[in-house]
Amino acid sequence: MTNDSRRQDRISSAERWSQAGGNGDFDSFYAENRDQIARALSLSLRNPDLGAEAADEAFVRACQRWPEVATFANPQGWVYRVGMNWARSWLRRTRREREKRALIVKEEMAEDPIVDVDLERAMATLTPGHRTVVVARFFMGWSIQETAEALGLRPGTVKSRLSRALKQLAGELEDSSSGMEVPKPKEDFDES
Amino acid sequence: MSLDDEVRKHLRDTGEQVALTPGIVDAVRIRAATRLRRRRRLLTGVGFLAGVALVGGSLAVVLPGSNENSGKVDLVAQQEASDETQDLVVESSDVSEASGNPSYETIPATAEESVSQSDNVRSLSTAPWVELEGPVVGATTEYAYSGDTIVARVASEWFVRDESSWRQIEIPDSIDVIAVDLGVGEEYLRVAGWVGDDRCSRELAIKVKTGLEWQSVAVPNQLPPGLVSSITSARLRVTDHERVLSLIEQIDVDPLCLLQTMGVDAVEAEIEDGLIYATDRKAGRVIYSLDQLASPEVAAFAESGPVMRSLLLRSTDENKWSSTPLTDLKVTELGVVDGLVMAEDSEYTVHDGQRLKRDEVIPPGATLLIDALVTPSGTSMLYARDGKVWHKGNLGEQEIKSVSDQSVTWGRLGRIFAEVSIVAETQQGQVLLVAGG
Repeated sequence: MTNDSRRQDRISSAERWSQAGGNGDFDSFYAENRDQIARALSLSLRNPDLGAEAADEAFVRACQRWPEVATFANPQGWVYRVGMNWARSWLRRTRREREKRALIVKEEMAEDPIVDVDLERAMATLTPGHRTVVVARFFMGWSIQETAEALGLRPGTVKSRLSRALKQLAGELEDSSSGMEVPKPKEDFDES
Repeated sequence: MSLDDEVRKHLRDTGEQVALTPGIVDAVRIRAATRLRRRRRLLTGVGFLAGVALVGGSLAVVLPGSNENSGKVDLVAQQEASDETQDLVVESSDVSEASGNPSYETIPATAEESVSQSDNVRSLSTAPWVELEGPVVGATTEYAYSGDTIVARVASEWFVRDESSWRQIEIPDSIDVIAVDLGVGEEYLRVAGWVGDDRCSRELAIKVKTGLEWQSVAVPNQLPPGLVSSITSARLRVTDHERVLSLIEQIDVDPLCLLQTMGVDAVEAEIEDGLIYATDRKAGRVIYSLDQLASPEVAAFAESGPVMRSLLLRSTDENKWSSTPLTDLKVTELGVVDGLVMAEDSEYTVHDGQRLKRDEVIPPGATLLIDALVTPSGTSMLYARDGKVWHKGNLGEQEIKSVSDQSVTWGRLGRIFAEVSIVAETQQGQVLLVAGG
């Protein structure tokens, strides 16, 4: 599915939820988006368990405010952002414990042979803020404007983060093909 | 391939490999509803406190000499507000002051409390009935009348209807509840359910709360090894003399449980053509003959497939239970009449304190009396006519439909405090209807 067609589907879904209103439509929204958003959060956070937890938390909040959330242009974006914010708060709250146990980054995603290991390692070097933008743009298929709205950033910030992220990925891939040592993955989610 | 496309493909591939547990929308709704209720109660508490402080302040101005009294008011107010802000689950646990022995009320209550329809109601096309929202808006809900109120089940959570809102019932985590009896109030809550996580070895039990203590009575499993029960609906009544449980269950062969009874610890197993194909933790893939492992009864079940059945279990002695198969595949309602637990049947409707012969109260022209309830203000009846379900009471006769105009297929009358209400079965599930006035 192309980004355009995916976007078109999403827009029509948002219109449908918004027009239909009522609580019953939350079920459709949840059924259609829960897995996609949980995967996006897992990729952004590089932790499937935390991603799923963040998605569940964000959907609970969406359910509580559904009549309002349903009217948003991009309800998925709202849920994604709430999930990221919740995960960041959780990571901040538990940082001391995690430092003791050093458990945050799971490398299990990179173990599967069909995944591009070099690219996965390169993705891991991105800052969380850059990775969040990359996932929103390339996994969720949102435009610059939609990504900006979903993450509460200026479009210019999204563009510059995306540009820097891609530049860094290209550099990392070049380094890995030339046998240079791969830097340690970025793990600090305290960055906004 | 450009780097953009490479990243896109990589994220898609990686994302697809993220193992997710299935999302359950009802669980999301329960969490959302619980938080909402908690917040409302907190706000109510704070509002109440502010209101009392305001009144207290005014009194202090009007009656400058009454400082001692206004101090008392504030103290009480703070205590009440503090109580209001307690967590919902904790709220119902304050039973240590309950006194006296439980006794069954067998006469319809004449309490003057009425169901508030100020919130959570939707107008029906067939006024004067309105549909009351369940405790978790939009979630599949099953209702059962119990005592002078109604309980609602959403997934594994149970709620009781207060005068104008739903409140979660505090139930021990150790039991997966299938039925609740609130006949003598929450301080003597009685529940029936499964104890234990293992589907093969879990036990059906009845737990009775007295004060803060829970006492448990096991309901013996009457199924041969290898057969397991999944209870879809149940009713429970417990008196000082008797425990009665009516239920609908699906009986099926579970090959893992069957193997477990033979000492085989399999991780997966399926039955096909009289053989059990199992994966043993130690031996790997193993094939067993069903005839050699299972009793003829179990083997017959495996051949014919799952069976639904309706059952009435009674006990006047903890160790002695009787089991009566019922013909109807609707859950059998129970009522306490003259101190005895009575089960409804095709001839009689039963509610607490009343047992009515269907033929004697059925309205002219009706083909079937579904339910009847005598209240101090008259008799309320639910019956079938022309393939539709009708209600007749003080306000005349109306066809019963849900708010979305779905046809009602069955129903049950009951009281929420003193008001008559209807649990109506539709193709989409149950809805709760209350008088709209």
